[in-house]
Amino acid sequence: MKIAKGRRLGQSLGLLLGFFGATGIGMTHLIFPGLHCYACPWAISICPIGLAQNLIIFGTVPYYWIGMMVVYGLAAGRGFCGWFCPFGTLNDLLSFRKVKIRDAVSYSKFLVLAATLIGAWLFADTIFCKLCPVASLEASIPYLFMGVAKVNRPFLIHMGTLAVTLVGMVLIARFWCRYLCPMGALLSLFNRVSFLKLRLDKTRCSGCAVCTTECPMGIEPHYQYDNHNCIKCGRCVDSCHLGALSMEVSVKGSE
Amino acid sequence: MMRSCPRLSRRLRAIASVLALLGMVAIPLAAQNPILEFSFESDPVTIPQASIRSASLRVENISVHEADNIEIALLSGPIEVTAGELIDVLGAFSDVLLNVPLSADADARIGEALAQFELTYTYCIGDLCFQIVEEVSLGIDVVAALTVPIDGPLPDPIVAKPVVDDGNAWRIVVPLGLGLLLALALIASRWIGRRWWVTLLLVGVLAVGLGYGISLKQDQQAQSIGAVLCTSCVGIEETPHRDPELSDDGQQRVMALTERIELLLFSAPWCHACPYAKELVRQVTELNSLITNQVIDVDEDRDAADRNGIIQSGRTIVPAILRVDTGEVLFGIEDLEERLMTLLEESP
Repeated sequence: MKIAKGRRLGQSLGLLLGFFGATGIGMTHLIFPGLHCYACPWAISICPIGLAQNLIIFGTVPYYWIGMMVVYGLAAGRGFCGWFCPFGTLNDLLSFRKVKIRDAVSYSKFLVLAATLIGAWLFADTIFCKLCPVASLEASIPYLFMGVAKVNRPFLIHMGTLAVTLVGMVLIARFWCRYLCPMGALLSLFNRVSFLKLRLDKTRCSGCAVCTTECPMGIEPHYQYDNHNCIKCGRCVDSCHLGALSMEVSVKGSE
Repeated sequence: MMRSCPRLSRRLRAIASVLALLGMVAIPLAAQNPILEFSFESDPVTIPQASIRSASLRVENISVHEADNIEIALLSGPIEVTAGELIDVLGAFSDVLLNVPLSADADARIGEALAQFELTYTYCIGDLCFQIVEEVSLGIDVVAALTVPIDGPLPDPIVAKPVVDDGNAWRIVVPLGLGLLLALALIASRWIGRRWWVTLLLVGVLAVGLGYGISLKQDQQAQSIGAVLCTSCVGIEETPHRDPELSDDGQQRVMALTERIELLLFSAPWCHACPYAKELVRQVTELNSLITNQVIDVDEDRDAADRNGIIQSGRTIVPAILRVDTGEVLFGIEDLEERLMTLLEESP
């Protein structure tokens, strides 16, 4: 149970830092290691996907952005989805039905990422932000109450995407993180090289597949402990009575 | 032999991933580059003294963007360009042959010489416009005046032979497709393992990225993008696709104003809704000289936004119109004409 507690702490920290602007601190130079709208009135860090689109529109070679992404990727890969991202936390709260993942379909998030970047380049506009359910939740709704936004077409589009995503999350655990999140796609590229790692001791594994029923991402940790979809939440580790799975942080190479 | 195969494919994947990353860098780079290619088809051009000839200039647009206002000017040479404006708009991936009218004076020096031209054009990606200036040269052979000088009407610099040449599309499509293929290969394959050299490579990328990025002040750029909320960028309002036009009623209400009103318009160069607000305010100030407006770029002058209360809960919101004497602010562009009229008609 140790991992679950640590993870709750991490997610609380993510929420706290995500909305720390409520203290009046304003925008910092940091990029958020998850999907978190920078237009949110209380955000203190920049959304990596929103920033990437803007940099493409500007025609800037994104050295700083790449550097920050590698920092996050190397540190934990998709661990940020499981331990930090506020929208991931919302996905967690609504994950009632743990459905086995369709591995081939889960690549759709890469298409979302590619479409986001290419769309920004072709149309010179932040198309993804106009559909993003995180922006619906963290920008559209707060600004509606603050009187800056009104109920108009873009607002309704935002509410539509948010509703679809919420229904998806209720029907399929971590629906957004599995199939659609472009930030998840980006971090998953680093999943197998990151320092935070899931380990499997095959000699201890009996193949009971308890870990599979626990996994919110619907992967089979006792086969695919280094799956690119693994958010390193550690539920499988907590569920394994034989201690075959473990989480570790190591800088050393694995092979 | 069998054992070495997975290792080889891992290396290939590592190379593929590095190339894909490079591809991601190359795409944004393409944005600021020249998008037109110029070449004279008839080189050299023979011009008798005191007459007019035209040179065929081929212009190819090698991008997905539209090029505007292509103009030519002479930098040096024994001749003159009689009409500098060549063509208003050249579409994406298209190709035209233009006649550049050149004239030689009666006392132009006989002989071969090189003329230098400056070609200027603009192109826009959204609200961001770039002006590109390029130089091209053309060999000129001035010969003795003909016995009967030809001095008819100027040849028109019209499109002589518009050709849509899809052959140029490869310049964009190939790198893009290659990047996509590599990305797909990356996705489809299992990611390379945690080898020491992979970690080292990534640490290197990280150090260079952060170090060089911060030295270019990209962290500040990121901060300024995050700190300014453009209402149409995250879908709070519709992005306007047409310029506003002040209604008849609006025009009369503006002309009826008798007080001096000072407005400040806060905008950002990358904000899609700002040109709409600027245009509407411009029409208002043109109709009534008592109303003045000053445009402030919040990327440049954040203090002004700070001083004037354009910041709401830590975000500078653009476009914003401030009436200086009342301190009232209008954010965004929805129903802007109506809201602007109310703002202007209020007595301080």
